[in-house]
Amino acid sequence: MKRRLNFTDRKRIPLERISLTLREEDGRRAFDAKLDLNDLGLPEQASVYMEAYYKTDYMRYPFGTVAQFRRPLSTNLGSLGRIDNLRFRIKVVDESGTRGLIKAVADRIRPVTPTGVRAILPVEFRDLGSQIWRLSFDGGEPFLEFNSAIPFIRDRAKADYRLFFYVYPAVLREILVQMIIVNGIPDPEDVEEWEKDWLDFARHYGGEAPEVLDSQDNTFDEVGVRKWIETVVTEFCTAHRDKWNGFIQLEEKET
Amino acid sequence: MKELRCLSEPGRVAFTDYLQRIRQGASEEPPVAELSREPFSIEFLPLVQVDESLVFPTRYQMGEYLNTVLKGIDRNTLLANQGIWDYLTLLWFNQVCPQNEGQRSIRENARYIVSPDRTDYYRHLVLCAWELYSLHGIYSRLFLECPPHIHNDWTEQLASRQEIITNKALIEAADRLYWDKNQQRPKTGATDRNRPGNVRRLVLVMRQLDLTYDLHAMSVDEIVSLLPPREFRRWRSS
Repeated sequence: MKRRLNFTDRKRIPLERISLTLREEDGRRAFDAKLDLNDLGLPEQASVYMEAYYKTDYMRYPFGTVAQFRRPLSTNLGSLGRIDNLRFRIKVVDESGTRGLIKAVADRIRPVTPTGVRAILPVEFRDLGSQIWRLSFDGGEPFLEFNSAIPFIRDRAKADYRLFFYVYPAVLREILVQMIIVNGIPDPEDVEEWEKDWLDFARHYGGEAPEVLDSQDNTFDEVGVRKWIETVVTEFCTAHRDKWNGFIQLEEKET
Repeated sequence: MKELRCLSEPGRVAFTDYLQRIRQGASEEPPVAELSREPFSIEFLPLVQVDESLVFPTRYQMGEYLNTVLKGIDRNTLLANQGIWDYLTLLWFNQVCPQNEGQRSIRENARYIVSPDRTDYYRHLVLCAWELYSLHGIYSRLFLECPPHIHNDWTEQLASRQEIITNKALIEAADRLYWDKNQQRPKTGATDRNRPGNVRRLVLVMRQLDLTYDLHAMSVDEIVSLLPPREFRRWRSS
């Protein structure tokens, strides 16, 4: 079970209060941010910072204070080398003392892209030896890796019907098993952004989840949870019937 | 001098195959001439001339050289064209994978071919030399003061952690603690996991403090002052 220590009463900024959108600015990527910090009990003079990061890239943007949320002159991300898979961290910092104390934070926020999409499954391509794909977890968050040695894998990962049905149902199942049965979710209302995204995604296909999702809880019903996960996966596949038809046509052609 | 090129996907495949053949005992020279042509590599723009005959005693000097010749080129461009780092590796292969009694010891591919993976991209011997020097200048010496073929524990412990490697003051603080100015090398024992205040402990302490303090806004002095005094005393004073 995950244990979270919080000696300094650091608050988590609820995800529904955050909106981060990528856009173009002077031919380069920039971002817009909306943030609702009302009624979180934060000091009005505390400063708000947004940090964009991935690998060795890092940029920090001041957004005024809790009382006066203000966009900086530029939120250009142009000096960052790696825009794909960019994450954001939002910090509310009390700077009234000698050291900046973090009063509230939200981390690993994925922005909405200019096309209006917020990807919930980052995909990377690497040498996986003789494996086609692999799911890995970075700080808990799932990443799908494809073997970069497979011809045209970047295009196929997006559009190949066969790959879709061979890979994504298994990925979905593995993520939900990892989240619920391996890690456990003690409080579905107090989860990381990626967990919330995947729970919402799963509920969309499988309906309401079993009440207890914490595998350490005595009332946890593993059989019921596995059954729900299978419903999610089945409904996910059914919802992509057009792709399934394409898949069958491809199979028929080759046989 | 040679024109910098960008290894293409077929070039990376051919380079990977070469690495594999060496692993299996072949004794071939790196295929520089073959991979310097299309379709294995493409021209990199803007044009850059690199000296393939240079011998770098350390990765620090490699990083310094690359920062000089690539100065003025957008970071985005340099990172988007990952094949340039693989091509440079090919040019300097005898330095990043030297022969010892006629044999080369090939390590994992990520040291020679840029991995897109967040867990091992920093292991690329050439890219990492350029990137750490460009991010931290002289304070990259803890990571880079080693022969070009060495990926040391400093890099593994510090550069692999995003919240640490992006914090300039924190890296300068690590340099203040662990760099021996007299000997011009990392202090003896700083990576020894049995010594109090070793670099692994620094990482652990910083990751804990990062939950409470806004470390990215702190000065070097402020960061050093946060460290447990007794545990880190010997590194601060020596």
